[in-house]
Amino acid sequence: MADSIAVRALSTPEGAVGAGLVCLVAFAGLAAGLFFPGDPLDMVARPLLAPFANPAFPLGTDRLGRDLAAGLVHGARASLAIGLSVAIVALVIGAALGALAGMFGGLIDEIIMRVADAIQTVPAFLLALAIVATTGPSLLGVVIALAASAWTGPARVVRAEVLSLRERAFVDASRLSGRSTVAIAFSVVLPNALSTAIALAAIIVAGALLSEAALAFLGLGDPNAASWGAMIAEGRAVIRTAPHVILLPGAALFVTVLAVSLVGEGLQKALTGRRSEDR
Amino acid sequence: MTRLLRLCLQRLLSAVPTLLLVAVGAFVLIELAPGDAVDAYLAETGGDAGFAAEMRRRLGLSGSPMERLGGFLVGLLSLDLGKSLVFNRPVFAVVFERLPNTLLLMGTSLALAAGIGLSLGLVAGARPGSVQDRSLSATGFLLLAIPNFWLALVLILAFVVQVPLFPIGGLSTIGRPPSILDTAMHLVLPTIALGAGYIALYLRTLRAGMIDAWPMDHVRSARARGLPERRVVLGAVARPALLPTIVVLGQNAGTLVGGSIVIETVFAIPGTGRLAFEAVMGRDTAMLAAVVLTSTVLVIAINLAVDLLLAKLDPRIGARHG
Repeated sequence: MADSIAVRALSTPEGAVGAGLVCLVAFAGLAAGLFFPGDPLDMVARPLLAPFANPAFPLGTDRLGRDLAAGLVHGARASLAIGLSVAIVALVIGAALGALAGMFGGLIDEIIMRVADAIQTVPAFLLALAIVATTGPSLLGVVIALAASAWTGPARVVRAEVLSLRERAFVDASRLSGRSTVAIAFSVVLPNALSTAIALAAIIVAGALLSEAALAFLGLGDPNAASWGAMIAEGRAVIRTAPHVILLPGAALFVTVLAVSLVGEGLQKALTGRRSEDR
Repeated sequence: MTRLLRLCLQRLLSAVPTLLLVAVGAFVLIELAPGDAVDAYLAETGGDAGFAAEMRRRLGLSGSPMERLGGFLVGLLSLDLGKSLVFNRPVFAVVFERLPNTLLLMGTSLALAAGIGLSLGLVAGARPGSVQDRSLSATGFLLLAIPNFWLALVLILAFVVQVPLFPIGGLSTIGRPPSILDTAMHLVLPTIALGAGYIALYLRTLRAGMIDAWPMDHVRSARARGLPERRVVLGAVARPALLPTIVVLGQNAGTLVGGSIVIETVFAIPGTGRLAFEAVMGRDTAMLAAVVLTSTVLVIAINLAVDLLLAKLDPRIGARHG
């Protein structure tokens, strides 16, 4: 079932364009070490070299003489890694908690959903800021900070699906065969609810890309990793003389977020298409 | 009116456990932070262990974690979370002093977004599938993908550096008597940067609502009565589609508050958003907790206002029977 949704999503114009762009960015990120084997944070040339001025550094350099092209592709790697990690953590935790809440109901449901309510009331970026302030600026800290609010979406979706699936015949059959509630939740109900949750993944990744960049922009990203947000922050000081230092990484971020959102739109269309055919 | 009052009480009651959880969460974050406010203070001024212990006692930072949590919650009830070590003033005094600036920025951004977003959404939804609809929808999609802090810098580049149209930095020019015009000029760029995403959100929501409304019976009967197309679009199609745009405002209140952190930092606006950033940088955890709690209350208040507005517009909401 998940396969056919992917195929359908790819056959929508949004999904096709988005997937193509995502592949492009992913390729740049994966091949970063191949094209630019050095540390992208090393000084390699004269500072503030303009784009196209020196063929060895096609996009120029920043205030510290770091190669912007190298920064861009290494930044793609970091952005996608964080975006995907946040989505995976949020989906796994959200799906598990949502399934537990839906299957057991009662007090467990009440506790999980109250916590979800509280987390959704706190502005997500403020929560991320507070968590990073506690964990310190590291890759893991950023992923935890962003997943801390992102899990509530999948949790609600999975819980709602579980509640509607719980009373169906095949779940009763599974229960009559003597399996425990937890086993049923994870083996029977969850796979059914997952396709809806996966459509949420694109939205989570797009949000995580933006929030990660904003955190790095504020100086709260991993200081040892190339990051588009940090590059933009670095370029602020030279906005008058060398605007390309902020324009390039910002454009890269914009295109990536756009690509992921397009994939999400494609998935959404594929899912609602399936729904309307079901009826 | 009793229906609205009941709804109001109901919502306020359900906000209590939420606030309690957020307060405990804020306390846990303060506890987990490496070092406490005294450490951060001593790192700058220096001082011996005796001085540190005396300071901890004075700030209520000694005692067991449960005792400290109790003190924290009791303090919260009287809006007293202690003093900020950066400002050397009660944290909530600083927060409340800065809150109006954030509310002003959020208000202008929402007004801009509602004004432009709803008009564009009306144009798009009036003729679904037309060229104008497609180009507007695509523009909305692009707007949603623009990072707001980058948009802020691009606006500065265009309208401050290249063409010096607007002043930046704070909400008024230093050394000049405060005037509404001066503040308005300072607000233009931050308002666009924060509101851009919401323009897209309003556009998409109104358009989607109008597309849902087109095939409905009351639209056909409005046409059949011979109403001019203009009145059909405004009265029959757009009117019911306005309700979801109010819902969207409530759903995204938190994103708006979060966005103000970055925008206020870029434009050096002394609001609660920039205060959050300063609190993180200065390890001013009590201040950060105060900002988190105030922002949470703000989100709850916006949602309450949205719920009440919806209930006022739709008499079915909150009615006891059906």
